[in-house]
Amino acid sequence: MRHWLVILWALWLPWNSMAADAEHPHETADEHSQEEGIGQVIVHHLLDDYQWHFFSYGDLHATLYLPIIVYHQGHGLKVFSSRHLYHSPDHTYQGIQLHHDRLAAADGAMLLDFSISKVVVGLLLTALLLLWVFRKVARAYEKRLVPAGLQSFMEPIVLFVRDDIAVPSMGTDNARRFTPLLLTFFFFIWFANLLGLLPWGLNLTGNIAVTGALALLALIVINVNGTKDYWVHIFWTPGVPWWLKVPLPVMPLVEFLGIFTKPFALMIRLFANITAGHVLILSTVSLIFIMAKLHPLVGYGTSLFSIGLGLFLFGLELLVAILQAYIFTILVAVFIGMALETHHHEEAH
Amino acid sequence: MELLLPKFGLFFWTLVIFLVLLFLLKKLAWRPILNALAAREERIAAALQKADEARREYERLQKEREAIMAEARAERDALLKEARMLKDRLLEEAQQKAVEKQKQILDEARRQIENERLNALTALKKEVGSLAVEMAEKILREELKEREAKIAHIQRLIEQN
Repeated sequence: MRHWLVILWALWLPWNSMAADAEHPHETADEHSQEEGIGQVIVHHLLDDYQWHFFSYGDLHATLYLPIIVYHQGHGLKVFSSRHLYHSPDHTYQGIQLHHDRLAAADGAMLLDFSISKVVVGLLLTALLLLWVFRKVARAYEKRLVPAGLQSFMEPIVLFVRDDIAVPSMGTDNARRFTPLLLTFFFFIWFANLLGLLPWGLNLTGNIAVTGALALLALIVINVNGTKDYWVHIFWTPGVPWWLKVPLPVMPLVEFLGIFTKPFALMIRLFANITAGHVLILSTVSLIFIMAKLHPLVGYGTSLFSIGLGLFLFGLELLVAILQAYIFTILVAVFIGMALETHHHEEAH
Repeated sequence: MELLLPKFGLFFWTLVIFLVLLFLLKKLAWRPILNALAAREERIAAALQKADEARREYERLQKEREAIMAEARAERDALLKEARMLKDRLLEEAQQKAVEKQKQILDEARRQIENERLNALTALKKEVGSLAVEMAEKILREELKEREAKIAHIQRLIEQN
């Protein structure tokens, strides 16, 4: 049963985007633009959207139009359905223009976009799923301390985050404070990664705004909890010759930059890994349609190869989903641990 | 290029969703789960300690029981030994008494026999004495008779002569 689900996912995921592509016949005019079109389809899939397109069958388009919420400077708040944007010939409605994946004011004024876009809906779904799952697990502990069912699936992971991520990074006492945050990071990223793999065209953690927000939170938590030693270490790095600090503050500058490069790396790492996975799977399946241009039979032949490789890549992505969640979480834990550290032997540095 | 440019709205919503989720999960899930796990760990540790204590207590009782058993066994052995000794002594005493009694009886018998013998001997002696006296008397009498006869004979002879 589960294996069939995996195969269904693998098959359905690219079909969504292909169907979306079919809505723009001008992009498939000749072979050259077909290949370009596929590139666009892949990028389109990776980007956020203001509608949620599930599938198209002939003239039937199963699409969920999402609410647009914008603050248009000089015009105030505007709320309307994205249907108006997509159905307008120049993708403009109430002076708001849709260009690629983002909105702009047609009159060039400043625009703050608070729309509930596809990725926002996906994040909300992730949050609701997490709340549902872990409320259920928490309730289960009221009834029995010996785990069963969902509880016994989640418990080792929760314990892993507590005992193998939090405690070794910052010690038992600090771990008690930060384990809830680390658990939220871990499960939010993991579930978002998995939802991104579902065949409904979501790409949550492969979006740089999402990973950027998570990294910003990590940056704040790390530096808010920085001890005196942590700041001393940054601005007057011990164990380094004085002429690296005065008159030209080389080391302090490097260390200060480190405050930002660590979360920046978190942001890029998660984004790049998930994006790469999506691109790989989409490319593999797109190959069928490129080859089918030569001859339909070649397309069928390629599909065998593509489905096999796609399945393999999908399995890999399932692994990457939890691996990236783990890497993000353990790095945040380690950085917090470093910020909390108090040095008793500074000369040793 | 749009891929690498974060959208402000999405950034904003991610922050909001994550922070609300963190708050709710912390309250509704992480605290109860982590507390339950900690409570269970404590319970397991306590149960293990209790089991250890119970085991040690059992071992102590076992040792005590063994000691009591050994003591009882020793006491029993001592009692048995004493009883055996008593029995032996009683038997011996009885035997000794029997032997003594026998000896007494034998002695009594022997004394009686001796008495009887002495009595008999005395009686015999008396008898023999009287017999001897009687015989001596008779002999004397006879002799005397003979002497008187001799004297008378002599005298007759003298007289005749």
